[in-house]
Amino acid sequence: MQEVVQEQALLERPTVVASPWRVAWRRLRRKRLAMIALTTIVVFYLVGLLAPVIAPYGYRDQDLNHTLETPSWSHPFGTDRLGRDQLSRVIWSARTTIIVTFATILTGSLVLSVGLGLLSGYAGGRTDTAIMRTGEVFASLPALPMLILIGATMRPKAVDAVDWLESHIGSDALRAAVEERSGPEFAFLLVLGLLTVVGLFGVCAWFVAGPRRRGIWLLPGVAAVIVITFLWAVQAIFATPGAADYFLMFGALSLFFWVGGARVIRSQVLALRQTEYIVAAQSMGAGTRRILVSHLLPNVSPIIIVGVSASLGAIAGSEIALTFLGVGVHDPTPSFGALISDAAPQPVLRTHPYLLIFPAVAVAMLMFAFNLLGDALNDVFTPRAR
Amino acid sequence: MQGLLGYTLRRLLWLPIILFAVSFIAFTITRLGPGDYVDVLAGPRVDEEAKERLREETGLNDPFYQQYAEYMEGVLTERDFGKSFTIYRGVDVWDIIWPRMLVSIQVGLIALFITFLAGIPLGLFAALRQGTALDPLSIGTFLLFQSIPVLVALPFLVLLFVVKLEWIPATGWGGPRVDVGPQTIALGIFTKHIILPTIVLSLPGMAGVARLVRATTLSVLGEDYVRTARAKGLPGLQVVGRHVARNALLPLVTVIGLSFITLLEGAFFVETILGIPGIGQLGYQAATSRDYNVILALVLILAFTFVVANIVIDVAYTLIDPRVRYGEPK
Repeated sequence: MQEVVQEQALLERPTVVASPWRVAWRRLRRKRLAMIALTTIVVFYLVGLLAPVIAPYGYRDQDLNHTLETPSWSHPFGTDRLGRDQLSRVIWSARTTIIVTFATILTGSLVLSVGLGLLSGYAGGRTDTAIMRTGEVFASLPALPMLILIGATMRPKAVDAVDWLESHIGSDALRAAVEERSGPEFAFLLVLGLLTVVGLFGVCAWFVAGPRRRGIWLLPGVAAVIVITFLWAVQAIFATPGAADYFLMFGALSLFFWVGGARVIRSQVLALRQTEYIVAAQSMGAGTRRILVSHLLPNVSPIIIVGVSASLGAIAGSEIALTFLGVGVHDPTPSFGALISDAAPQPVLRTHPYLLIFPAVAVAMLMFAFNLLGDALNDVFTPRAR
Repeated sequence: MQGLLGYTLRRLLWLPIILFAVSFIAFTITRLGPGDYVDVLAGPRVDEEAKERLREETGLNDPFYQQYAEYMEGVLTERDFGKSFTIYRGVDVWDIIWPRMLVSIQVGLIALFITFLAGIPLGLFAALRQGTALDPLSIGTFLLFQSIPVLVALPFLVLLFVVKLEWIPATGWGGPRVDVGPQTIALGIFTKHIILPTIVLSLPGMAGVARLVRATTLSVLGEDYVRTARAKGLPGLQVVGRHVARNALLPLVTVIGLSFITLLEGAFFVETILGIPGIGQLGYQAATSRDYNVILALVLILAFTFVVANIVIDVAYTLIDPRVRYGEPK
């Protein structure tokens, strides 16, 4: 009798199990180098996001009386050939890098690769073949020359498109639309409002529904939040000169950055599809969406994280490389690629080496930090016996 | 169809399809992207009538698929990639690319050679020192070298070796000249000009190879047959040479393709910064001066090389390592 009571007490006591995420975070925190890398990345991102606040000068403020000055108190990194403050240019460049990486990660790495990877692995058959063959074509293309081709040829088209969008959904056009209460601009606002409601509802429901049914609410909620953020970012970026460059670049980069992720996710889904819990869920009548979202997605998310951390560095590198080659972001929009390409010719190196050192060190540190973190995350999520 | 032959055939069947897709996408982008193609072709200050004549002459009024078919026919039968617009106005694109390819190949081959020559021993060494203080140090150094982009590392090296230390006289290209048809090229591999590009191009690849070799060596070191070799009293060096290295180096075959890509992408920056007249520099010039025919030809040639190289490497790998299954698991 006594034993039965004890057993029941044991059963009723809520069992505390550390979630896999917490375990992973704990493992990561123990790696000192990874934490340093993470801090570096966070600082870089904060500096970039807060560029309008932090930067002592604007990125296009010229001071022709003080060109090519060596570092001093008023210009800690010196000034370039137009007298623009190099420190401010570096800070604003971080912002460019962040915008391009984020947009590309969102479209190329998350939406395209996760969506297509899950679909391809779970649906199989013709869908799988179609997606994977398309991916094969993209993967077999030499990415850099293709990106150069796209950047060099499509720019006028992108500029036109952005101008058109700006005149239709830019803040001024929207303000006018609110007053008129008609036309496609007003419809755009309505869609945005509707999405906000769906997103808020999804997020609320996610908290209210409790852990078991969260998966169902997660999809519309997350989708709406992503779409809103995206639309709003799109809308806000129009004000910045050089918006067309951003769009062109992240569009082109997305095309080439989804394949690797989609392949890995697909193969993981193929393996997971045979596992007992998926078969059990299927036999209990769970729909495709439920299986995809609440069973498969959580189990491939470690791979997604590792993949994203790896491609963050690669995308940032591509942005800098393309700008260096003159087909990425264009002057006056600052970018590390432009800063380095301005400082790289030998005559400049001979007389003004400081112009190279600061942006180059910033890029090198960021890349190293991305790689260190990616390596550590790989260890954390896919622990193997060494 | 099963077996190596079937696998090779299946891969080869894909070749024309992929090449068609690549060429069609690239052609479409070049012809439809830059607004009016004739504006670039004709240059500034040309009246409407002359433009219309040019359109008729170059076949721009033909249906799009016909333009594509004619272009590809020219490419496949006579290596006719059209003419350059801006860099060398009116010169055949192939005559521009061919000598420059030979220059890039010189640099690329040396760099590829050094990548593996230095990377393999470094990786083996790091693996054998696992657990000592050298281990984290070497991993960190490899990762550092692998993560610094070429376009960041190169100006630094120029600053150090050319400007400050003055060990290497100046950048550029030179050496004994060889006649290769339309023009002569310099064999820079016999001069000091090869030093800087080789270093900067092989550093990231070398670090990558070293990391891979270290990882595979560590997994091989744990195998039973290595323990057996040790147990029967084989000297350490022979264990590494005969049993460990042979098995640990197999996966390197797959990396050759990857290092090839890294080298090629690096060439764009190295040749531009150092002023080496190869295809990387040409690509940069073509991109900045909007010479679409040159860019298109470069993309087609590089894509073809990539696809073929990847197939050769995959087939070679299945030949070398019989444990690898052909194609995807059923």
